[in-house]
Amino acid sequence: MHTPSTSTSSSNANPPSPLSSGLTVHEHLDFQRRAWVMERVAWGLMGVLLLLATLGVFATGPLASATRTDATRQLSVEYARFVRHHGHTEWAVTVRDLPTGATGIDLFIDNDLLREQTINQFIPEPSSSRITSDGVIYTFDIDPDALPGPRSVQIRSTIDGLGAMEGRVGVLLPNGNLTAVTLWMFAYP
Amino acid sequence: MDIVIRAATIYLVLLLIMRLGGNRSLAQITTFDFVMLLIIAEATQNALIGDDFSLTKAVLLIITIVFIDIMLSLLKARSPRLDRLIDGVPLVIVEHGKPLEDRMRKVRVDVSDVLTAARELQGLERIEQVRYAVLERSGGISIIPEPDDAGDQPAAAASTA
Repeated sequence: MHTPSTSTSSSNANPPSPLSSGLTVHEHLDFQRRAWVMERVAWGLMGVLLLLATLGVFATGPLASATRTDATRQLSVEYARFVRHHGHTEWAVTVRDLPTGATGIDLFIDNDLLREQTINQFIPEPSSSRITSDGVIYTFDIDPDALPGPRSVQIRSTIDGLGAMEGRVGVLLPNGNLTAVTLWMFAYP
Repeated sequence: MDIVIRAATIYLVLLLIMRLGGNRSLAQITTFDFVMLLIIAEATQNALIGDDFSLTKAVLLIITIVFIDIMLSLLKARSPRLDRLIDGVPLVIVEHGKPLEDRMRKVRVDVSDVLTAARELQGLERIEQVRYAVLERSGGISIIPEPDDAGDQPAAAASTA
C-alpha cells in the first residue's frame, strides 16, 4: 500500500504523478496504461469480429454461402461456406445441358468431404451408389422423356469436422470424364 | 465433462469481455444496463445448458462456476499481479477539485459522473469540494470531500459501486 505520490509505482519513464499526497490508494500506472492499450486492442478485435459476423462468417450474410461452377459450366454446386461443428447444412448440385435422352446423373463426392460430414438425405434418393478409390459415385435416375434443362440434387448433411475442410464434388460426363469443383468449408465450434 | 468445459469457457470468456470492456462497463446499473445484463444472461444460458435441462447438469454447472471463482480468488490473494490482471487497479480521477482529464477520458468518466457521485454520496455541490475522486476496481466512484472551512477532517469516503 502506498500514497499516490509514490504509489504510481511507475518506472522512471513515467511522467510524474499529478497527485500530491494524503491519499492511500493502490494505483499502478504502468499496469493501468498497459491495460488501456489492451482494452483498445480488444475493442478493435470486437469490431472486427462483429464485421465478420455481419459479412456472414458465423451465420447468414454475403460470405456465408458460395457457388462453385466447373470450367465446362456443366456443373454448379451451391453450399454453405461457414458451418457449425455438429450443425446441419444443405447443398445443391445442379447439372446443366444434359443431353436429350439422358437417363441418369452420376454424382461424385470425394472421401475428403465424406470424412468431414455425414450425409443424412439426398433429394431425390439415388438409385444406386458405388465406391471408387477416392470417393463415392451416386447415380440418380432421370426421366428420359422429360424436357431438356438443368437437373438438381439437394444434399442434407451433418458436419462432423472442425476447422477448415476441402473436398471435390463432380459429375461424370457422357464421355466418361469427370468434371468437378473443389469446395472449401470452415466448421467453427 | 462437457458441462465443466462449457462452464469454464463461458466463465473465462465473460471475465475477459467484462475486463476488456473497462471498469465502467456495467458498474452503475441503469435501467438499460439491467436489460443488457438480462440479454447477456439469456445468451449465456443456451451456451451453458445446451439441450440437457437435467438437474444434475444444472448442479454441475453451478458447482463449476463457484469452484472456479473460489480458486481464482485464492490465486488472486497469492498473486498481486493476477489480482491486478483480473480486477484492475483503482485510479484517482480528481485531485483537490481538479479533474485529471487525461485519465478521465481514458476510463470514459466525465465530470458529471463525478458530480453525480459527489451529490449522492457526500451531498456536495461543486467539483471544488471534492478532494479526491477515485475510480474503484468495481467501477464505482469514491468521493473524499475537502475539509470544510472550519478545518474539520473530511467525512468517510463512500463509493457508488
